This record gives sequence, C-alpha cells and structure tokens, in this order.
Amino acid sequence: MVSCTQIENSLQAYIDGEVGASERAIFEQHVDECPICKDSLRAQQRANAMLFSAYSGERLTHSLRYRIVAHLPEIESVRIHDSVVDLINERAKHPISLWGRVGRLMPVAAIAILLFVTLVLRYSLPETPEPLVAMSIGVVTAASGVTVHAPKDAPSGEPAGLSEFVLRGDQLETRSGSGIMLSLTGPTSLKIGENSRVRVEDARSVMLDYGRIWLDVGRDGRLFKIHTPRGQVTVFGTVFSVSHINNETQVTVERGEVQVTEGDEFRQVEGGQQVVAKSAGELTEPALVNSRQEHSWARRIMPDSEAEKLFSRRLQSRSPSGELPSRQVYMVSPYTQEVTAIRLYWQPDQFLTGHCSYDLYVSGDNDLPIFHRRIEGSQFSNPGVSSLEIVPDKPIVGMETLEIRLVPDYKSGRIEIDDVQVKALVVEGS
Amino acid sequence: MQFEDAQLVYLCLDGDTDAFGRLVEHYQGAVFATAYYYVGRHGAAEDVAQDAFFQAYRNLRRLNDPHSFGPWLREITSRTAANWLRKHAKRLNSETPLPYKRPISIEDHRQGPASDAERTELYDRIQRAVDTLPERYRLPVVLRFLQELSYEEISEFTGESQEEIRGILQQAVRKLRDSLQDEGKGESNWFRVRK
Repeated sequence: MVSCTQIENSLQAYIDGEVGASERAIFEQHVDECPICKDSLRAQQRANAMLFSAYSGERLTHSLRYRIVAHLPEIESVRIHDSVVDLINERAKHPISLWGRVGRLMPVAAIAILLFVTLVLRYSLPETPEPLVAMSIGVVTAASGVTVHAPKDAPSGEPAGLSEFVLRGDQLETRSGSGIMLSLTGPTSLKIGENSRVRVEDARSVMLDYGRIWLDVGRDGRLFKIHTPRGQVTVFGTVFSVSHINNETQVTVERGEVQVTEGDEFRQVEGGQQVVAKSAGELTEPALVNSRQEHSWARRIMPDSEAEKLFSRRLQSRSPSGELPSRQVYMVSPYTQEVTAIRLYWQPDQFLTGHCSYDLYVSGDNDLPIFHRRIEGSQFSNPGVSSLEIVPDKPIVGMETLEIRLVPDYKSGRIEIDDVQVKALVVEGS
Repeated sequence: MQFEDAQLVYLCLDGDTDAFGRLVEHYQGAVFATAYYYVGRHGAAEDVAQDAFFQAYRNLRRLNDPHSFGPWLREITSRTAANWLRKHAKRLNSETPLPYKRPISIEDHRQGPASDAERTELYDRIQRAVDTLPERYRLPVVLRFLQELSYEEISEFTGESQEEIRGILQQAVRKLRDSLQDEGKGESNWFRVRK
C-alpha cells in the first residue's frame, strides 16, 4: 500500500509525465480512491496551469541555431588572437617588416595549396554524385541476411547494401533472419526486423505493410508518422516499435509519447505501454509491458560505423530539426463544468493559401480520449472567417482539465509559422 | 539518433560548426530560460543567450571535461547575464518596467483590456512568489515552466541528478501552490504548452 505522503511527493512528477508506467498505475489507483489526494492533485494542477499561463508569452519560440552558426566563423578568427582589439594594438606597437609581410602571406599560400590538392583529389576519386546526395533522405547503416532495396514503383530491387542512399518512396524488404537499419535525416534511426516490408515515404513518414520496425525519433518535438494497413501512429520524439503481423497492429513505447489513431479512436501511449489495433475502429486500452524485452530484436541490429560516418558527413547537416513546428497543445481547465463547444481562433491572413489541414484531438483527465476531428485547411483561407466552433457529439462533463492537441497534416499543405497559427482555444461552459 | 555532448564538443574542436549548431539546438531553451531568469522581461534574454553561446564557442578549448558541457554552459550563461546586468544596471534602475510581453491573440480582444491587466497582475504575483523560493529551487522552476524542459534536460544543464530535480520541483510547486491557491478560479485560463 502506498501512503498519502508518498503520493503527495509524486504529484509534480506525475503531472510532468516523469513517473514510470507502474508508478503511474499505483498513483492513479490511490488518487481514485482517496478524496484528499484527489484534491491535492487538483490544487497542484491548478498551480501548474497558472505557472505555464504566466510564462507562456515569454517563451523562446524560434531556433537560435542558424543565426549563431552563421556568426561562428567571425568568432573563430577572433579566437586565434584572443581579441580583435588586442590584435590591433599589437600591430600598432610592432609595425610589420618586409619578412613579416611575406610571413603574413604564408597562411594564405597554405590554404591555396590545400584547396588545390582537395580539388585534384575530388575530381580524381570516385564520389557519389551530388544530385543523388541532394535527393537522399537517408543511408542504409546496417543490412544482414536476405534483403531487398527497391526504388519507388520499381517491380523488383537489389539486395540492400551498406552505405546506400535512400530516396523518397524507396521500399525495403527483409526475409527470415535478416534485418536493416536506416539513418534518416531528422535524425531518426529506423530498424526493420525480419519478414517485414516498409516504404519510406519521406524523412518523416513510413508505411509498414507487414512485419515490425523500431524507431528512435529523437527528442526535439518533431512529428513522425507511421501508417499501417490498420491505423496510424503519430509520434512526437520518442523510442518505440510498431508491428503489423496477422492483420493486427501493435505499438510498444519504450520512451516518450506516441499517439495511435484508428478511425475515430485514438490513444496516448507512454513509455512502458502497448496498444493493439485488432479490427477496424477498435483499439485496446494502453497496457503495461516490458518494452525493453519486446525490443530485444532491435538491439541486435547494430549500425556499421563507416556507414554512420557517411550519413553524418553527407546528410545529417540537412536535418530539419527546429524548422518544422509539430503540433500545438492547449490545456484548458473547465473545472468540471459542462463543455458544449470548443472554439478555435486564428489571425486571418488574406494572402494565405494552401494551408495544411489539422487533426484535433481532445483528451480529458488522465489522458482519457474524448473525441477527434479533422479540420480542413481550406477553412483557414476564407478571408471573412477567423474562428471555428467544434461541437462534440455530446457535452463533455466532469473534466478538471482538457488537453487539446492540434496536429498538422504536413502533406496537405503548408504548416504555418507562429504568427498565423491557430491562436487560442476557449471552452464555452454552460 | 542522438550524439552525446562530448562527441559534439570534439567535432566542434575539429572545426565542425554544424556540431556546435546541434549543441545550440539542444541547449537553447535552457540557456534562454537561464538568461531570462537573470535579466527578466527586458527583451535582453535572447541577446544574453546568444552571447553566452558565442562565449562558450570561444572558450571551448578550456572545457576540461567535455562530458560536463551542460553545467559548464550554465556557468557561462550565468556569468554572461551577470556582466549584462552590471553593464546595464544604471539604465535599468531609471527605466520604467516594460509591460508584460505576450503575443496578441484574439482572446485578448474578446476579453478587453481589463483582462490584460489581470494577466499582468497574475504574472507579477507569480514572479513575486517564485522570488520567495529558496535560490536552489528558482532556476529549475523557470527551466520547467518557461521552456518546458524535461527532468532529464534540466539535469543535464544544472548537473543535479534527475531525482534531485524531481524533489526540487515537487517542493517548489508545493510552496507555490499554497501562495497561489486562491487564484485562477473563475477566469478562463487556457494556455498553450509545447510537448
């Protein structure tokens, strides 16, 4: 039995999603049965809501990366002389002699010689043609056993070879006892187990026809989608696996958070949990599972270091991290009042066309799925309209907080940047 | 596929500026929040964060243990912020505080200016409550609630263990909860979080 003091000490970690699956289960069972702890949880959630609310406008919402990297060469030259001012002072004190002038030209001459040698080497050695590198979205970093790597729409393919580039639409197939690993820009690691077939649609989406795959999507909030003949998996930075065997899709999460959708049904799945889609429109509740054990097959597929080096040298710098907004999540506290509608607002932009569509997911306390709607991108292009009311099939009652996720369907159009994104959501209580 | 900090530091020392870009990507939230924690709402947090990264790049050869890049970067950020404050102390003292900076949303227009004032007041009250916390608690609170960093990310940056961060945030929010308990009810408090 767990005591109320232990629960009190886990409140914040629970709200922050920083407890393991078993601790979470014990926590929820206690809170369900103990009105005092339930009140404490609500009070703590309210304090969290206020803290997030107060700081939300102050957040850094764009990446500093490219601006900083652009200035690094200037710093590099300063670093050699400690500071530009010192360098100037030094020169003023000691005027440069003729030999000094010749000496000053030495680094320039050395660079020129190096450049010449590099150019000679470059054109004399075989190198992957640039257009192929530019079109690639990944590299095969492990391949064992009988495998097939086929280009888009090709009737047949060749065995997958180490360090091969992967292009959009490529299909990879494994037979019994074989395995493949791909490093995709992002960066994302994708391992394909035996007896599987996968089509890499682009660097952020794959189609699993059958078999099983394991993914590490990193942790920077990017969106990744996996389609199977049964259901769709949307991921926001995490380690997990998907299998589709005997017309049944299984999603097992090792770390992070995954959203699984099948028709109108959806589930939030966290580390150490698994959900199964058995038939159309049917998803099991997330159940505890030993995810490390489930993924032992994936740990046996090890990347080749030379192929990894090729990936990091040629493709990794093109990783789109920080460039693409993945989703917007809003927390709304109706404090158990009845919720009859959810309203979306955005700032109209008359020049805006080709806006992407969104999937809207509404969950209640303890990630309880409530409803899912598709919002077509054309709604955002109507100049006279800047809000949209979404009415659930039946009013939402008894929820302390609602979590509302807007997930862009980046293939349906352009994902908007901050100032034209959907701005606010308001719950209309009765 | 995630590179370890140490690997990225070695790549930077080999002249790979993109490797430094990856460190910026990973730590920018933490560095910005720390800068914000020191220089507050005067629009300077971003400049201080950027300068802290430049200082780190300039001094990278002096980093003794590349595995502790995070805590080293935190030290540099604190020092950069302290220098900024020293330099601007006079001007700040005579300056009228800037209004609470938030992106404009339709919600604001709908609720009118009274609500904006209320929000500013809520922000100020929260800021005052955070200031009363023990010093060791304050930075983790700002890292968590301003940039929504995970315990792992906070721990990488402050050098404290994830267990310590868990304890610190629990204690901190428990204290804040008491001082903020009567607020929030009755207003439509939507907010956006990044996950």
